[in-house]
Amino acid sequence: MNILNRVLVILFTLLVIAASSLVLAVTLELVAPQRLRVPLLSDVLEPFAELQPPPQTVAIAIAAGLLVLALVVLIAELTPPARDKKLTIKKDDLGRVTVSENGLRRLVDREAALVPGVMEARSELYESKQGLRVKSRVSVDPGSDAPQLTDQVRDRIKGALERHFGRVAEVAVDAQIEPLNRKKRRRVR
Amino acid sequence: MQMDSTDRLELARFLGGAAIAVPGVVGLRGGRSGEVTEYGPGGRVSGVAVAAAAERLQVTVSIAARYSPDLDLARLAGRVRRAVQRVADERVPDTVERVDVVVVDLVT
Repeated sequence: MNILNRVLVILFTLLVIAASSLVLAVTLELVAPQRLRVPLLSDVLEPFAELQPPPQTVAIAIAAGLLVLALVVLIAELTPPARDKKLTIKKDDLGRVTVSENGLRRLVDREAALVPGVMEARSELYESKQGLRVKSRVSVDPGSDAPQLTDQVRDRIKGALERHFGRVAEVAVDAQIEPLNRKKRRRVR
Repeated sequence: MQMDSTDRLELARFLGGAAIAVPGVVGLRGGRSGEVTEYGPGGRVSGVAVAAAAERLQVTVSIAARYSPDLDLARLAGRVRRAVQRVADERVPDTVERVDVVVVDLVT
């Protein structure tokens, strides 16, 4: 959504919030329409002040629903989206090449999963002044040699990152027999 | 370089087409909130943004790449950059100053 659309949505939700709040206040008899000192507004709100149940209950429910909905939309519009961090692969006069952290995480997980005996991989990436750090958890075949597999996964991830980034990353691999979505019971370093 | 939003949208369409034609590129991605999207009258191009930088233009192309064990992201991005720059030079010579490439997704 571009900025103009976003501004229009924000203005519309503010209008809905104001209107539904006024209707609620008048219907619940918290404010008398005559006290609003805006003739047109008083005229529009006057019928709500005269409502009796059950139409009064319906009006309150609709106004409250619209108020909540508008508040939710307003908060969603005003909350900045979570930005996917970008890691730079290459930068020169012609431009910059970056990869998103999510994209790189997928790359690392796929490289790890290519090692025979690895059932599943899930990684986390950290970029510090010292360079890129990768923490990878892998679920391995119960019949495999886990320590050896751990070394293979580490070498594979390191090799892939060196190929793409041209720099060495610190890679830590934890291997477990159980699937990754279960709690870790046995850990092999 | 003065370009109105209609011209920028049209240019973005051509540049997006050039990027997507590069082998290894699966598609263009504008981002969850359309960070890399060119908007214009009657349309939008997700995955391409054309911004004015002083007298020239700066283009950002956001792509999803196809994963393969021999994938080289830097090389793929270089090919995308060259393809986009070539089309830009054909359409608006000496206008695009730099092309940034963002790899946001990997697809098997």
